[in-house]
Amino acid sequence: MNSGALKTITRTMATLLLTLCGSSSACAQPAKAQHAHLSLISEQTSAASGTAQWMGLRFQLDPGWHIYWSNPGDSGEPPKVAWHLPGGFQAGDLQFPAPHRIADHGLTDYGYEGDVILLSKLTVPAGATSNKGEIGAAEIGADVRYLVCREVCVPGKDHVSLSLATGQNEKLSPRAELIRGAQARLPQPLPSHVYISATVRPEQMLITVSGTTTGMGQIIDFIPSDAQVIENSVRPLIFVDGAVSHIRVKKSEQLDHSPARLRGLLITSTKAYNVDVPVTPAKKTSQNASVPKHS
Amino acid sequence: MKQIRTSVFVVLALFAITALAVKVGDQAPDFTGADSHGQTHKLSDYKGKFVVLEWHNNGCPFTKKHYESGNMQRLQKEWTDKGVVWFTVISSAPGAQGYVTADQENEYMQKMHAAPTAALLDPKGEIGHLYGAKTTPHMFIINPQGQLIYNGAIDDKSTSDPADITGAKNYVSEALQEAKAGQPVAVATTRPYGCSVKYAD
Repeated sequence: MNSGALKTITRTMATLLLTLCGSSSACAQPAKAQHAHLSLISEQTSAASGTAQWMGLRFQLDPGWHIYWSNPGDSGEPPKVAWHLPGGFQAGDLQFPAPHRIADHGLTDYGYEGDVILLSKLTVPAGATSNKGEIGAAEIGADVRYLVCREVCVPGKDHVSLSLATGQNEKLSPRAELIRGAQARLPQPLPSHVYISATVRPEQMLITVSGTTTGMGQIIDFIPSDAQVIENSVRPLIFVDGAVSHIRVKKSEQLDHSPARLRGLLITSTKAYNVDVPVTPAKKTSQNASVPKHS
Repeated sequence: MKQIRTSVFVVLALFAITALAVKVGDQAPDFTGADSHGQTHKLSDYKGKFVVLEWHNNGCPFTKKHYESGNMQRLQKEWTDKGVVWFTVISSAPGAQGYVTADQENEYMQKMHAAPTAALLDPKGEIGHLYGAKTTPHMFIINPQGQLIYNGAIDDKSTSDPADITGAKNYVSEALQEAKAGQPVAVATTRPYGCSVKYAD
């Protein structure tokens, strides 16, 4: 199918949706499982006393539909989860894999298509063996609200759950492989021998990466963690000067003061790295103040 | 090298596009638009009054959040009662989500008890592009001297969940209160949140 035909179909669907929902409150409430199939998976089928493991909130999305990163970019909204856990159990903050840029009517959003797993660390309390050492089951539930978009956005609401055997024994789940794959896609800390700094100028910010950067892969993008810091639609300009890379990003038009820190993801050809650096004003005399000329 | 040249070109092109967006403190660009009753409105005819522009798409979950809860209508009523001119602007292209004919919009406003001064139909996106409207909703406030004094989100809870309206800080009300009291607007620019405006591609 060519893209023109696809667009026509999308438009027709949008019109149809509008006709169905535009004047009816029936569509006001988020619907379950529209364009996204949700499931909850875990590393283990057990919840052994005093252990911790990763759980994965898996979204299997219809082709062309996307959900959002923790910073959705210019439009959209990240998924939210409310956990229902047995007493003493804890679920950590959602961990998002590195997102992709998604073009949307001249805007740029950050999110995922296809099959994506958001992770949360489940901590099982000591003594979760249940009273008297009996083997029981721990029920893990999650109420999830999310926005799934293609040409149009549809709010979704779902409840997913998981039953884990309590006791002393840890038992690997057949889903462990999927969890490991999701872990590998999480942004990583910068290697300790890599140095990063950020300076600010009236219209731009300049990120400088130096040190032993071999093994990091080629820097291809920078994605901000905070909304309203850089212009999402302006792709960073990347200059490589030997072992030093300069990434120039455009400051957000909505930014009326310089941020104290720049937080985001440094995307390379192989990985994504977490960046959190103080932002200092550019000194006119400093080398960092001028972007090197193209060589 | 070729890649660098291409990037430079793309960046320049995008700078040019974003540079069009109107900034707080600027003179608000004048426009003429037809409303859903066939009446024409020229922004400069409203000099001497505060004018609110509200970008709208009745199928967008973020717009629905503020209409099905009655929040937007309450704001429209409150501020038009106080002499503010409120234009709902619809920049969805024909066939795209949120596009409405004049009759459909009138029916919608009646059903929702919407109370703007008028709903401007902007299917070519001319007013939208002139202001750099990004999302639905996206709010702009123009002061009686014709300067833009607010550009951004409706409030500080950037979700589509109606439960988040309670306790949210409404930027539009705060800006209007401050400006009407002769004070500077404390929060004058924010990141608008919502669905992308469904412009013609």
